[in-house]
Amino acid sequence: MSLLETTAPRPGPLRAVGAGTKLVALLGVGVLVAVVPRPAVLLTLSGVGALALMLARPTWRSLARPAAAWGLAAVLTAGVQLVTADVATARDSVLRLTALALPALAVMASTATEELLDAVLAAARPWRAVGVAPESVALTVALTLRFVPELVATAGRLRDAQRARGARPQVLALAVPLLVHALTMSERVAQAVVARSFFDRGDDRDQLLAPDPAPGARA
Amino acid sequence: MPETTRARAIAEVALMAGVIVALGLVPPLYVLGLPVPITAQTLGVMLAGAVLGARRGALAALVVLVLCVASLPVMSGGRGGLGVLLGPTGGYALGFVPGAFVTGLLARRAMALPSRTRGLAMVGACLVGGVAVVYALGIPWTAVVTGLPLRTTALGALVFVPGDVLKAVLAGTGALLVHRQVRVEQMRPAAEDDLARPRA
Amino acid sequence: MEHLDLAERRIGVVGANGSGKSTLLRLLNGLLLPASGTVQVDGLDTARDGRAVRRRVGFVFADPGEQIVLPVVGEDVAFGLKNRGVPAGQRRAMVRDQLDRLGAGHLLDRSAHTLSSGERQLVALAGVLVMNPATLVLDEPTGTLDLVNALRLATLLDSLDLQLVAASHDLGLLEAFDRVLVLDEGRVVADDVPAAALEAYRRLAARTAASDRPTVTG
Repeated sequence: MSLLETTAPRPGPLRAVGAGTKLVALLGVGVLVAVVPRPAVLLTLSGVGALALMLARPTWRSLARPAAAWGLAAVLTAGVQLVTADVATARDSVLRLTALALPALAVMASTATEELLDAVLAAARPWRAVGVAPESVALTVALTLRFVPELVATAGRLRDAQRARGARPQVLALAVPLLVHALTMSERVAQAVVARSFFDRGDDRDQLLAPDPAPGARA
Repeated sequence: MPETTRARAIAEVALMAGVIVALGLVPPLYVLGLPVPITAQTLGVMLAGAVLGARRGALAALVVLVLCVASLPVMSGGRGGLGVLLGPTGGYALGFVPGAFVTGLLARRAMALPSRTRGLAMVGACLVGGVAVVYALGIPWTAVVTGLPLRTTALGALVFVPGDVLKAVLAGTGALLVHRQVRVEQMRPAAEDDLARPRA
Repeated sequence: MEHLDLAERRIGVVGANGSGKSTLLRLLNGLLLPASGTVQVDGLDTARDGRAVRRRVGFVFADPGEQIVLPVVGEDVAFGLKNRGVPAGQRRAMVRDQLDRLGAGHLLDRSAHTLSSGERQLVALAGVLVMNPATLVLDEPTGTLDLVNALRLATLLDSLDLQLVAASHDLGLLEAFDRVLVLDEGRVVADDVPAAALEAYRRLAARTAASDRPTVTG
């Protein structure tokens, strides 16, 4: 993906595990923390997570930001619990956070963005039965990735224009033109998608995205 | 032509998702009179619902979450990864989807009102969808993740309410400004509209 | 609009903004369907046989950036091929070959948003040409280009062995064409060899510019 450079995960035993499996496992961790937040469970999850993280051998740079965020949350939570409750409660809170953080970081460190994206989009396939074409889902995501850099650049230009006028950049003065720009663009991008045969693929249904018929709509 | 309308749906959702991401990557912006700048991503989510309607607005928010799960830096400030969603503030992020949806439902009703009350109703839509619904998910989520009691996480969330209320006001106003310039078919009220707006 | 038969190899369309150029072009590949009457391409009806029509007619939009829909150049050029069911290995080869033929082979792995305007035009063109259309419809192909790139594109288009129908403000581009249509307010007001048609267009434009009723269109 070319949205922004993401560091490739280092080789290791976790690389062989499918992204979909890892995501489901994380979901399982989340459910456990929510339903059975006993210290023994939390400790086990944290331990497994720590082990997995070590096996993934993450680069410090890729880990710094999320780890700092989790660390901050742990400190704040522990602080509040120490003040309002007792040490045991504070410890349990920190354990909850580690039980969630360590496995999550392990998955992030051992799975490439492409794999994660493919896994999530694969989850869209069964929805064909409900009228969502997986190719449409994939195209929507790809279009977003395609145009985010351009939209960021446009937002930057709008910001600079305001500063050039000596004003501090205003929210609506940026958001409204940006949105109008994006919407007018979407009409033309839509035409390109049609002209390039996206809907000539064969059988697919897109009821989920179908608009409600507006009265007097032009063909 | 039916294919063009379906393509339009895909493009609108994708580009709106792009706007939500872009608004999260832009440095904090100012509001007239206030000395403190605000972040704009939640504004983007409210706008998604208010401008595109419930279904497409929610789908745009969902696309952003999908990219977040894929470890792309799409959340406010360039954060990403499943850790963000599993973390203490994950509920607020997940709340984007139902938030945009509810905003869209109410915004469509608002569009059908006379211009005198439309503005207020639009802001109301953003308040209910963009603030109430999001907090309804965010507050309990924080409690589960941190083990803090619900009352504490609710009190903690109070700090952010004034900022988010301001964003709802801005979003409601902004959405109407956008609707004046661009025609969004699914948001047009059933009755005749007074202005002839150019087809985007 | 009465019956119009577009069989020449190089056809130009000129007219003021809002004169109907874009509409006419989009009728040719089925993006727009006629309110009355039919549009046929090689005997195929755009309303009934849209898929087959789009196989024969490639469309190049005014803003090439908006026609590039995928983040990486190689993927995007393959977009149409993938939609038509061409297998992956063959797609790769065809994309590489098409980009090379346009002198853009080095752009294969580039991110779309890093391309210059000239490069975008080439990539957009590659994505359409790789489909082997019989007709290429172009909406203001040199609109986003500086003079150097515009001249390069003109030479490139001239070398293509297919029918071209191009709407353009670049009168120099159209001078070498076989036939030029002049549109005004949705109707064909001149239809002739370039020299005559462009002269008629210049007169029309001058008349409109000097008229007492200023109208802003487009």
